[in-house]
Amino acid sequence: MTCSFSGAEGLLPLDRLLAEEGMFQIPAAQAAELRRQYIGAALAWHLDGAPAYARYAQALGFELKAVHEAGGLDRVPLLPAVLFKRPEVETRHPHAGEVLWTTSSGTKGGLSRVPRNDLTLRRFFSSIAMQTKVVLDVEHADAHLMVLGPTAAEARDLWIAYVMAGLAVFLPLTRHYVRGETLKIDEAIADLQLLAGKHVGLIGPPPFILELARTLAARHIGLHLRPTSQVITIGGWKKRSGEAVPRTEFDQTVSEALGVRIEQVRDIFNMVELNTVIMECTAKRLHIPPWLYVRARHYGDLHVLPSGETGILSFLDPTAVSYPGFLLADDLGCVVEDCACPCGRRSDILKIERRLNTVESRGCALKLESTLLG
Amino acid sequence: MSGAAEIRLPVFANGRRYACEDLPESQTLEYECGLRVRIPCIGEDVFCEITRRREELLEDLIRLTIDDVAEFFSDFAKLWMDPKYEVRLQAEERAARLTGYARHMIAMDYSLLGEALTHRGYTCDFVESELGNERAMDEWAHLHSSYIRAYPAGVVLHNMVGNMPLANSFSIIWGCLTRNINIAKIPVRDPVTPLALAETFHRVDPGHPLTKSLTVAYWPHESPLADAAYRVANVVCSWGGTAALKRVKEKVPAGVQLVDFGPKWSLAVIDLDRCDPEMAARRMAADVSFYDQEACLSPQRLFIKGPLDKWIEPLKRHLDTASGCIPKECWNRDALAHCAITKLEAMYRGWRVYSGKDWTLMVVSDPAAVKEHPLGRTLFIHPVERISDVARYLTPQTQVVSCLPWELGVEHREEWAAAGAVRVVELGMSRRPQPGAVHDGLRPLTRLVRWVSHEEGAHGSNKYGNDDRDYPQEFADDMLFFRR
Repeated sequence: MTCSFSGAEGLLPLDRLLAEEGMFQIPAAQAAELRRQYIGAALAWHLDGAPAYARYAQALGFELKAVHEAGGLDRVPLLPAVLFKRPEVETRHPHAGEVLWTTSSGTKGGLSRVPRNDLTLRRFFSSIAMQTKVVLDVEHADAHLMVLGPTAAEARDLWIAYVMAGLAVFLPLTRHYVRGETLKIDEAIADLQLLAGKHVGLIGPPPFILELARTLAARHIGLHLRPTSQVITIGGWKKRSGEAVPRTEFDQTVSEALGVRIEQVRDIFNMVELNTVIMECTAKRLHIPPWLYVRARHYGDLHVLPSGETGILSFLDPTAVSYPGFLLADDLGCVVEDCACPCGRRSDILKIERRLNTVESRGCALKLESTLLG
Repeated sequence: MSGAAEIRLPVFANGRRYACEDLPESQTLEYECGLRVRIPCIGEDVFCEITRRREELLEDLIRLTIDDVAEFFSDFAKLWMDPKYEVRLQAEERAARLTGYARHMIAMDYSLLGEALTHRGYTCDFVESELGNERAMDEWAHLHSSYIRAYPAGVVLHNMVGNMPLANSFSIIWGCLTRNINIAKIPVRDPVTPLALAETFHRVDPGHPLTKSLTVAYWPHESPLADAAYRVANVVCSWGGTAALKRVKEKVPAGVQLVDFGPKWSLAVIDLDRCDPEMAARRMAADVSFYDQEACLSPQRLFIKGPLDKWIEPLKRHLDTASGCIPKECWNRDALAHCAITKLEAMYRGWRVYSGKDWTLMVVSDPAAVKEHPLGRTLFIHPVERISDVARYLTPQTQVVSCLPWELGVEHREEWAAAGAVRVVELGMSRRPQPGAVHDGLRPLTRLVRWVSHEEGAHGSNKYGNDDRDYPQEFADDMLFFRR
């Protein structure tokens, strides 16, 4: 795939920030100004070149100049995540060039398809690289990464595999333990036993990690990994939501079974429509990087809620150039603004409460009319 | 109105009433509105008692005639419709707070129940519609060369859903009409209505077989008590959406009949050239507003022929009027979020959007472009050239087609029925099923009874004459076993 993106000069400073080691040391006011600049530039790009998005902004009465006014970012037109599930709705920027259609697993109400061009993907990997170092504190060249997921080649366009691959790229000693959609648990256990004294990063969706931990406990297998080793969950419980356990119980079980410190059981937040990952620190807080504007919104009229109040989460992500990364998610949560974290970083903190429940769960009315004829 | 953050409810186990203080354990249900409901926990002993006393309870129930049942219901209705009846008044107030429905709407639903049960005629006509004969459970009826009679299926477990107070009540009423032992698992969303019904049974006559065979309680779906309830049931009557019904299907033991209601969707069809536009707007507004569209009979789409642009104004006006009468008091975050998200989707896709305080209208020329419905008083309006275009958008999950004028039903019911609809009603009438109406495409009472036939012997009468039977006994036996 070649980068056919042109005219991105106004966005290039953003690329420098993505690779900035001190990204969480930037003072709040300066970070806000950077966000406004980068999001403003991305907005101009999409309003100028993406007619569907421009029409939408016009219908909502939004003009580009508003982004420079007080509270301007709160008025940026948001694309509900559901739009990416509509095959007949075009979210692709017409000048993005060749794109890779990345997909969600489609376990909840249809498959999302997000068009990513070369620059969008490179920015995604770039943000992962530096955050892995500055939030996850992983920079050991000898760290062994064990991915309880498929290789990117096997996963084809499945986005979660890209996220995991993004972490693997910078750690050469990587193995994958899902093949043909099956977790090769015995292989993983055998490798974990061989890695005594080594720094291991175990990454995967929570049900796989829990299954591995419970199997280790059931077989009375004690591991002797370097205590600074990390367990990183990504993605939700999906089809296995019935097996979900509270986070504290999960962390305890995993920490005991794998012999890693409890603060090293971390989570990474991402969704297929979002081009930035948000990583958890040792204090289990999801630090929002400075280029990303995340706010909770009121359920009814979508106005931005004060710091700490729970609502529908919205994201303004300027790193996406092949589609507008201005998103209204299907997740409920809150943002604690400008929070001084015990880990030493200062940033906005994201708290995820849960996914939106389907309307069907409220009664006998059918919401999904997937069989509508015509 | 009580300002207490905790509501304490009783439960009923085999006709006996238990408050929180009467049982060793209770559980608390928490609501997004901030309220908590405390409710006693029943134990497996309740279901053991049903197993132990099954024969005795059923014997008493089988002895009841339709007159006995109708009289009990009539007494129930007398109390239920008393404007000072405190159980109903308290239930209205609490159900409104817990469900997020307007109290006035709950009261109207409760009144429908009372009105239906007041008249013996309703009870008898309903049983006749369902079982073919109002005395089908009272006596043996001669049918062709057999005598038939319906008996209770035994124990009916009702898994209820809280989006429609009336549906919960009728599930229990159906179980009573068929003289079954009834176990009702109350829904979290509306625990109040079924308990108010049970309380009223108790007040009418605590010793009545219908009261003594009624259990109304709560237990979590994933609990040993749920498994025990499934083990004791002969029929499971389940209401709800896809996920809820799927969970129930996984639990129902082999040999136990499952009668499931839902999920379904409904629509409206209006020919503005052939009806009073003002009446059409008023009735459409009522249908969209009732139950905040969360019932399967609530229309989600409107297919309309005629001058739509002019008609939008009266529709908006009547939707506002409906908001005044039955305000949308929904505090459910998911429901509100779905509406907000759908509105944004509509704007992105360039659909025409009108919205008021409690409602949203979206004009979409291609019905297939709408993939999901957020409910919450949202109406997708699809202009059509011909009413005959509507049938191709119906599905096997379609429940009610509400039309105006009524004659549209006469003209198009064959194509609508063939496409999947199970009720065709006049616009505005979907929540008031007329005598003889079906429910979800079936006669629910037939699923709650066990039919027994006593057939004629070899020498019995034959509908088509007795030619074959005028043989001597020896020849008849020879015919049965040895004839070549």
